[in-house]
Amino acid sequence: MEPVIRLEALTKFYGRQRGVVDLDLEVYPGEVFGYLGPNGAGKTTTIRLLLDLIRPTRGRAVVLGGDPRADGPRLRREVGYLAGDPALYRKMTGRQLLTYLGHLRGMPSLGPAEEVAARLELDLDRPIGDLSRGNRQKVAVVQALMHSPRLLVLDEPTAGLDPLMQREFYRLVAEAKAEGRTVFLSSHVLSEVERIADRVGIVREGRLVVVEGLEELKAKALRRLEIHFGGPVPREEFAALPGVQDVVVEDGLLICTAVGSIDRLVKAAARYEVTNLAVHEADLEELFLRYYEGAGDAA
Amino acid sequence: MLRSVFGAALWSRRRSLAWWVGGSFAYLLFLGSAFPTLRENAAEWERMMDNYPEALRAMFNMVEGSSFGTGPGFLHMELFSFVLPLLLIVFAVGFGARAIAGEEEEGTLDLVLSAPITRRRVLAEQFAAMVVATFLIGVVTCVAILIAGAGFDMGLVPGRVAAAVFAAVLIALVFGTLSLALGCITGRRGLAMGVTGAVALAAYLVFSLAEMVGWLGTIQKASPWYYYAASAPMLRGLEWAHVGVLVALVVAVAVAGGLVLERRDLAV
Repeated sequence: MEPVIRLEALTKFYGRQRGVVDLDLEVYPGEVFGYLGPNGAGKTTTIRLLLDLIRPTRGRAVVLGGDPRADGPRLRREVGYLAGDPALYRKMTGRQLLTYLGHLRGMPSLGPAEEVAARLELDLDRPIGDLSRGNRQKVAVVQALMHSPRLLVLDEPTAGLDPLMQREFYRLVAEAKAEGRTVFLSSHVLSEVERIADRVGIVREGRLVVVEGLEELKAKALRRLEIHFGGPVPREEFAALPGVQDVVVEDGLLICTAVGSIDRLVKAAARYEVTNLAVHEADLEELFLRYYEGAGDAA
Repeated sequence: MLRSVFGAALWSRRRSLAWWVGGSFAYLLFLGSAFPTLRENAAEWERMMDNYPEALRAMFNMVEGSSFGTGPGFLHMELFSFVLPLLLIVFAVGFGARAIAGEEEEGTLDLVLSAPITRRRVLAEQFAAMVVATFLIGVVTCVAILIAGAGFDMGLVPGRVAAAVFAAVLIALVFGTLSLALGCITGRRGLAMGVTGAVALAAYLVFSLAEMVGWLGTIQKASPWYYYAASAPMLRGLEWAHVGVLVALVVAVAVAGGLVLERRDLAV
C-alpha cells in the first residue's frame, strides 16, 4: 500500500538550532496517526515541512505520492491543514474567511463548510476577532475539513475546544477515517491521541523515538494512582504486584505508579475499604523516561 | 471581492483606501483654493526667486516654467515636487510591507499557502493589488486636480496632469515594490518599511542636493527620484526613457523579492 506520508531521514535545522533529525516514518491510507511529543519536540516543524511552509535541511518528505515543494498546489488541494494556534483574518467573519479560502481551493459553494460549522455550533456571521479562543479554533477546524481532503494534517487540533466540542471533533475525525481519509494529528497529551489514533509516533528532542500501535503503547502507559483506604494497608502486598512501582503507604493513603493495565491493582485494593481513588496520567516526559528505563532493563 | 488573493488584498484595505481617496480629494481642492491668491502675488515671488542661487533653485527643482503665476507651474512646485509623491510613497510602502511580511507576521500567510496556490502567485496578486490601489489613488488625484484646475482657472492641460500623476504613481511603486520585496526577503514588516523609508529619503536628498554637493552630482542618476523629477512631467510631459527606468526598477525588485520568497522558510 502506497503510504500517504513517507518521511525519509527528514531533517530540519534552523541555523544551528535543532528542528527535527532523521525522521523516518510511513503513514498509510485510512489511518489516524497520532504524533505525540512535548512542546518544542519538533511536531510543528514536521507539519510545516509537510505543507512546504519550510524546507528540509536534508532528507525528504513524500506526501500523497508527491514532493511538497515541486507538486505543492496539487498536493495541497487534497490536504486540510489546521495550524497550532491558527492565525485567521480577524476582520473577516467566519463566512467571509471560508468563502475566501473556498475560492482559493476552487470550491465556490459553502455548503459542506456550513454543515461542519453547524455541527460545531459555530456562528459564521460574527467577525473572527470578536470570537472566543474556542470559536476561533472551530473556524480553523471547519476550514481544514470543508473540502473533504484525502489527508488531514492537524496541529494540536482540540486546543481551546470545550469537552463537548472535543467530542464532536473526534466524531468528525472518526467519520473522515470511515470515509478512507488519512489523519495526521499532533498533540502533547497522550489521552487526546488515545481516543482516536490507530498508531502513535513519539517525538522527543527532534527525533522519532517510538512508532507503535495504540494498544502496545497503552500497555506501557504509566499512571500514577492515589488510593485512599478506610484503614491501614500492607505496603508489601501492593509492591509485590507485577507492573506496580514506587509504592508508598502513609496511614490510609497509598501512592504508586502502574504500568499498563491497573486491573490487578484495583482488584487487590478492593479487598480493603476504598474511600477514594484518583488516577493521574503520567506526563509525556515521564512516559519517555520510563519507556527507556524499561527498554534498558529488558536488554 | 473575496475570490482571490488580489481581491482580498483590496477588500481588507477598503476602509483605508476610502480615507486615502477622500483625503487626497479634499487636500487638492484646498490646495487649488490657494492658487488665485498666489497668482496675484506671483510677480513679487518671481523677482525673489530669480535672485535665488542656481543651486537653491535646483534643490527645489525650479526648472524653466516653475512659477506661481501659472497653474502648471504652481502644481509643479507645490504638489509634484514633493507632497504628492510622498503621499503615494507612504501608501504604497505601507501596502507593500503588509502584503507578504505583514501577513507572515500575523500568521495568515500560512493559511493562504496551505491552499493550492504557489508563493509566486500570492506575491503576483499582492503586487497587482498594490499597483491597482496606488493607481486608484492616482486617478482620483488626477480628477481632483482637474476639478480644482477648472474651478480656480489654472489653465491645465489634462494630458500633462495625467502624465505627472502617472510619474508620481510610478516612483511610489518603485518604493512600494522595494518594501514588498524586503518583506519577501526578511519576513519583517517593520524592517521593510523602515529600510524603504530611509532609501526613499536618501533618493530624494541625492537628487535635490546634487547641484550643491559636488560628489552627489556624480551619483544623481543612481537615485530613482531623478527619473521621476528631472523631466518635470507637469511642465514638459513624460520622458519615456525615465519611465522605462522606473518600470524596469519595479520589475527587477519584484522579481528579486519573488526569487527569495520561493526559496526561504516562512516564519511561524
